[in-house]
Amino acid sequence: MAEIDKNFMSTYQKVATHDGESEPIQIWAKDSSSYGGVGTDKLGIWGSVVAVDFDICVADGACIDACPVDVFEWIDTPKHPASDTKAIMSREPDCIVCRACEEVCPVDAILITDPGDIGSGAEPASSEQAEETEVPTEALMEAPVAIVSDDTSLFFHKPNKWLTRTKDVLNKEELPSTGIEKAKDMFKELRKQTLDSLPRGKDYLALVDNEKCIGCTQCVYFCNFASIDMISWDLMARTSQFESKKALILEDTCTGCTLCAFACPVEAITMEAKI
Amino acid sequence: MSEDSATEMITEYQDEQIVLDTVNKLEHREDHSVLEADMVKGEPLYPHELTRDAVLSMYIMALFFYLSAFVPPPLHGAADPTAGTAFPPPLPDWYLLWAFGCLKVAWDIEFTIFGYHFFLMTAKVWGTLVQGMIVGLVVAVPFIDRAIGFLIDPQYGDVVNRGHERRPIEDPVRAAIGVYGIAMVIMLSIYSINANVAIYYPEINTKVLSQVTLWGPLGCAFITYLFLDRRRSEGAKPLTDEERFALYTDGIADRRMQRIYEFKLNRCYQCGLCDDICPVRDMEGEHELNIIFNTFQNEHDGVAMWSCITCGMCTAVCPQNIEYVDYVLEQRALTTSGAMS
Amino acid sequence: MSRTKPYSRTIPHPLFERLIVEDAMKEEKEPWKPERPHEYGYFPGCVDFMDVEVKFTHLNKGDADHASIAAASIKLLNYAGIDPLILDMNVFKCSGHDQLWQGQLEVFDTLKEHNMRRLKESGIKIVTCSCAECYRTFAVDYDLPNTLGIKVEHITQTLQGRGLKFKAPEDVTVAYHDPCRLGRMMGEYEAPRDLIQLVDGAEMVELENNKERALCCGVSSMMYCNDATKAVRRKRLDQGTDAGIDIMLGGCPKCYMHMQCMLNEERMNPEEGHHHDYEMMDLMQFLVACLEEKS
Repeated sequence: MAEIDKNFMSTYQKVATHDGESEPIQIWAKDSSSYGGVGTDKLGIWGSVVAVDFDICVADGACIDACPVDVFEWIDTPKHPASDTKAIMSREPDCIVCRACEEVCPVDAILITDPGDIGSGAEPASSEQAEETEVPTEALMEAPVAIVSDDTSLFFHKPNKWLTRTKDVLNKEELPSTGIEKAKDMFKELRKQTLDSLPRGKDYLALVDNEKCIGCTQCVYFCNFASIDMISWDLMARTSQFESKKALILEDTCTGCTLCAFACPVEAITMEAKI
Repeated sequence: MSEDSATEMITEYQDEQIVLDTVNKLEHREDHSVLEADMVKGEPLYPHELTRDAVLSMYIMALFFYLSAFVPPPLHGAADPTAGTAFPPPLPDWYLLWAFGCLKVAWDIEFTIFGYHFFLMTAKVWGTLVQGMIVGLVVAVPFIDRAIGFLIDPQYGDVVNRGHERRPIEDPVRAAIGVYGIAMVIMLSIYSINANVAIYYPEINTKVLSQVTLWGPLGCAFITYLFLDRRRSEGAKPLTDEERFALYTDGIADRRMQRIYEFKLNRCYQCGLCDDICPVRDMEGEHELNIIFNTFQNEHDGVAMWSCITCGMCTAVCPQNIEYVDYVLEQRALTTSGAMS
Repeated sequence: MSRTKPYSRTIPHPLFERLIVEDAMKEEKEPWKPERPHEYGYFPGCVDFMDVEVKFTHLNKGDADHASIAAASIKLLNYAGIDPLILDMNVFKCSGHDQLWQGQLEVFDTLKEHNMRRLKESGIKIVTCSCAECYRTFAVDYDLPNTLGIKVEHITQTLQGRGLKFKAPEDVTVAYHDPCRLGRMMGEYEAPRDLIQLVDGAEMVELENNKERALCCGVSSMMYCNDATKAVRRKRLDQGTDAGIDIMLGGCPKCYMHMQCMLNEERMNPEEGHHHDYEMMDLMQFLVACLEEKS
């Protein structure tokens, strides 16, 4: 039992569910006898998209720190030989498939499966799983916005009352659509393509292309390891108060989670193999 | 992740060496290199142009030596002014005939004040006055233009001389004056050789010729004014640059199809207004980026072309209405299609 | 590792541009017929696409909403008694302005061919755009008046002189920021100003550089948002502070987007000390906010 079974979805069975924050968490086990429930030493694998083998988990807590969207939280599992607490993926639909937790887990107990791949497995997709595939794709769009909005200390914002008024007026009546739905779907697809095309993992390192970087600091807000810094470059300009900002990845702490590449609006961040 | 530890880490890694390493790494990435198509430089003066000029001038010198050795010039005896009246009389070169005509013309405008006779239009008065006026006008042109530019656009006239050029159809009065001048030059030239004319056409005597010289140009100017004014009221517009470009190059099949922008650029007299107003140049610094000048030199390295924000301010201030953004549009299309293949 | 892209370029561009290229390359050949004939057609442009892109980034921590420009334009057209045919982005595609100016002629030609065919099928007489870039592209690059006989108008020109009345809910000082495409390239300076003058309670001031000398918002065709162009934008925003305005109004959604981005970035990083205490809005949004309540 060195690491989580990569094919658990086909070899394991669904034995039970546990309450998550919004949706129930699927619990998998080899067979119904190898799952004993919370409080015993037989816990099986919890979660589908974010799957954690609770029999391996040593409650190191790295995944809780690493997760950019706070999927994990602690759950008490008394009497388990590996540890007394486990990291439960109670906000599993929020997962943005950055695989940061996979990388930081010291015992390799976590396996992230792309929500799109679950249905295509050996097991026929049940209605419940189809629902699961829907929600995380939505989360791909919405979740990062949710993180930054928690971070209010850095941002002083006065709501634009004029724009609010505009929206109020516009909401009162039904205006014909201008085709925004199409854009949303396409954008999700494109983000997914971008992520899929990037290699990730400990052997890779994010690299910022200074020519492309527009200094928007988006990646800094996204990076969960504080491994991106905005470096100021002197700019020979007539307007002397202006200086150039570019992102710089600090190699030692970068985990290769591709989260910054995901966040970058101009695709200035690519993943390069470590030398 | 506590804030303190993050700050510590950032401070630790702000080490200069790491920054330099990263920059180095970035600079050596293949897919961010400057496109080769943008690296075309102009021809250097030394040695290319100097060598070419030297060879050409030596060739011409050789031709002179050859001609003087084998084809001796047909020299006659020296001219003798006392030998008698030459007929036809000696004349200046053709391009100075009009000035000669000015001196010869005499319309005998004569009036009397208190018993004294005044000849207004003697050859001496006419010739001196008219030639002086013409030279004076040429000298005064810039000042006239500036003064009028100020009157037209008081907001910017003192800063920028916005003397946009005028097509004849936009300004019939000025066009008529111009036509008057040209017709006058032609008529004065003919008048100056009246003796020669009289040999071949005896019916055109000096008196008729002088009257035609006086009234002919005025008539031309009047007809021009009427014609242009009528065309203007019909809604005729001056030819656009594209139309004129087509007109000039029409029928020259072998000629390389120049880009319109280059054609327009030939009218640039490098006043530098575009460069002064360019907002990008303003930010990038004086010597760093001189977008339009670099383009003019065909020495842009890709930076100028892609960092232009195509705001069109250069065209707005250009006295010649050269559209730099058109050039950017064309050049970007060329580069991108070249890079794609 | 090399990623395959439909075009090759090293110029920074947002994902939004990839969306448009992707959309452009999808072939749609089926004929389309509007339900009933219209005289006016309203082309919203890619504001919806922009929204998706910008909503994702933290720079939209404010409340930038580009789709509301399109909605506001439709609302105002209805208010002015015009019933436009919405040239829906499900049927139409982006006008291709950005692709043209980025040098991607192939993509532009695809978009142009598609949109020309759709415009022909729509049977409209006048197309009106709320975006200055679409306006220029339709009028100059598509040359619609000469090719299809369709008149192209910017929405300010359509709304001008229709006896509209607006009332600002409170006194406000505004300034109009001339977009390059509408101003210098198409020579329309007065129509937006006339519209602003119609708003009761809004005082219009001119920025230091206006009309023909208006400063650019700094980014064209979504390329090269770099420090120099940011400096251009900051210079423009500073002029707004100098003029003491409450709202800066733009005639082009792109200007709105770039200015809003800058304002939000400044509010995001207050320690840098750049602050402009006013809002950027599109003219259409402002006019809708100033619509009088129907009793």
